[in-house]
This record gives sequence, structure tokens and C-alpha cells, in this order.
Amino acid sequence: MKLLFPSIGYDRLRMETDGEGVTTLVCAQGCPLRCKYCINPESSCNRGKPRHLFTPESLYNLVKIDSLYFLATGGGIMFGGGEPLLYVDFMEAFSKLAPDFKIYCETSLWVNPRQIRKAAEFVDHFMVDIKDTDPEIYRAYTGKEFQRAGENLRLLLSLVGADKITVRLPRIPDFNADDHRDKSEALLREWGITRFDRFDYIIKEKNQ
Amino acid sequence: MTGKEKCKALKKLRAQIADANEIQWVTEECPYEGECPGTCPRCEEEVRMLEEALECRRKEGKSVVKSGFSVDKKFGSEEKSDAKVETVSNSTETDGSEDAQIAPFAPGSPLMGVPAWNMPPHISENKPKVFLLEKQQNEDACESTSREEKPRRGWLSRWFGSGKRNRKGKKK
Repeated sequence: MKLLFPSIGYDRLRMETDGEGVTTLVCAQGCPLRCKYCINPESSCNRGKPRHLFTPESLYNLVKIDSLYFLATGGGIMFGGGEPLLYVDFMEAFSKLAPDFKIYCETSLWVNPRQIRKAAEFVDHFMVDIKDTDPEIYRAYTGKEFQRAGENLRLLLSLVGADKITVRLPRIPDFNADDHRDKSEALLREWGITRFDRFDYIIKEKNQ
Repeated sequence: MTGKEKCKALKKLRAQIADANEIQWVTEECPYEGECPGTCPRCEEEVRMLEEALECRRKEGKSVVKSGFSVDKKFGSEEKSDAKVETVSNSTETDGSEDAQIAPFAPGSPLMGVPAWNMPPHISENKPKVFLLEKQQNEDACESTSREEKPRRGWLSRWFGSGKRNRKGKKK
């Protein structure tokens, strides 16, 4: 079966925003969540034909132009989206074509546990966008239940360890505040998470 | 980080790689002053030449240093505060096409799937430049030794010619 990765686009020469070194971000089309302030709404499944449809080989041929920078700085490819773990088999095949590239993954973890187990074998670092650990807030913002994401995070922690996971804790206007983030961080620290990335969402108005 | 800052950081990185591998590396400062994505065909030609020089070095049996470098972020914008922000859109109020302006890979964005060989419009305005790149080579190891004594023609002159004309007045 041919492995394909529908993509809404890619961004070259990112510097230490996705992890160590110079990276290329490749964004998947398709996501199980329906976040109100999604940064890439075109990544939703019902947005029609993807901008690119990659095979592992075609993606490698595209990104290898920056291989000198990847090798020099310890960088590589960041799979984001959308939800890249929907295409974990593709990612695995790609990682075998580019064993010298670091593989990073930005994910909500709202996927099947099988996909988590597979990704744990080859992904070098996970950026987990957990939104908020409060189930009410999570459901209100994403339209889905927190339980699956929480269970998958604990599974991932048991598979790869805390050093390979950074949990993103956004302050989302109209949905959570600093005390919610503090509670989320406290809970996640109890679970064993040690790396956090706290940041604020700033809502861009339609006419700006 | 602006495109120009990225360009400077990557230029410095290339120089560091060349220096670590004892490759004599001389390039010109980019004259373009407008917005750019941080790379252009000229920059990528430099990457290709550096990779060639590293491959020559490897074939000569010399050690090649390809890792352990870091990007010089002082070319990036200074952090004004500790607060990190991420600009998002209200996805329920748009049809997606406007939101694309926020994501770095929006339609029209310089890095949105633009192949490396696409020339930014400003390139055709520049006069062809020749930049000298000297390689320390073993004549037996690499085929391009005949270029050692001549200034290496910049990639632009390959596209626009040397300006010389034949006897009929046509460009060579």
C-alpha cells in the first residue's frame, strides 16, 4: 500500500523554534479536533484537496536541500499540522529514508494508542499541545474529550521518558487563565512531565 | 526572525562549516535590501558548492566536520519580554483563506512550497556577480581543478551570459 502524506504546506529554515537546530516544518492535512482558535484551520479534514500529496521519497527529495544545515545543527523535520500522527506509518517510512535527520512531532495526542506506540520508536522529540487538562475547558475548546489525550500522554511518557516530551500550555482567551495553566502544570508534573512551553494566544481579528 | 536575519545567520553557519573543514571560503555580502525568505538561488548555490567541497575532502581521506554547529541567534530579533505569544485566528469566523495569512505557509508566503530554484524577482535586477571561491584540492581527487586559477563564474552569469558577442553581434 502506497504511503501518502496530504500536506497543507511546508516551511523551511526554521531556527530553533521546533527544537534544536535548523528545521523544516511539514504540516499534515487532517485533524480530529475542532479547536476554536486553530492556527491552521485549513488543516481540517473537510477542507478539500490538499496542497501537496507526498510519498516518503518525494518529501525526502524536497527537504534534503537543507540536509547540510540539519546535519550541522542537529536539526531535521518537524511534522505538524493538523495531526501528523494520523500518518505515523508514513513518518516511519520517511525516517528510514533520512536516518541522519532528527524527527520532531507536534501533536495533540488525540489519536489511536497504536499510533503513539509506533511514533515512540522513531520520533526524537514530541511537542504535545495539551491545551488544558481541565476536561470542561478541553471539551469546550476542542470539541473532544480530554481523557484520550491524557491517557495517550501517560502512555507516551512510559515509552519515551520525560526528556523527549515538551508539553505546550497555552493561555487561551475566553477559555482558560493562568490559574488553569498552573493547575495543568501541577497535574502534569505529578505524572512526570518536566518540560513545559507556556505561551499566550493572541487572537487576530478578521479585519486586521 | 526576518528573512534577512535568517540569511545572515545561515551565511555565518556556512562560513563556520567551511572554516572547520579548512575550506577557503570567500563570498559577497548580499546587496538585496528588501524582504526575502532567508534563502535564494544564490545562497543555495553556495550550499551546493560547500557540499561539493566537503565531498572532495572526504574523497581525499581527510576528516569532515559536519555536526556540532549552532545557529547564531544574535541576528534574530531581540526578545522584548519573557512572554511568548502565538497569533491565532478565530476559525469559526472565516472560510480559511484569510486565516492562511497567519500561518507561515499561507498562499503567497515566500516559503509556501516555493521550489528552491524559483528566482525572486529582485535577482534579475542585479548585475551578474562573480564570487571567488578557492578550494584546496588534490588534483587527482577532484575533477574541477581547472577552475582553481580562474575566478568562479557566479550562477547569474550562466543565465545572463558574459556580455560578450560573436562576430555577427549576437550574444555568445
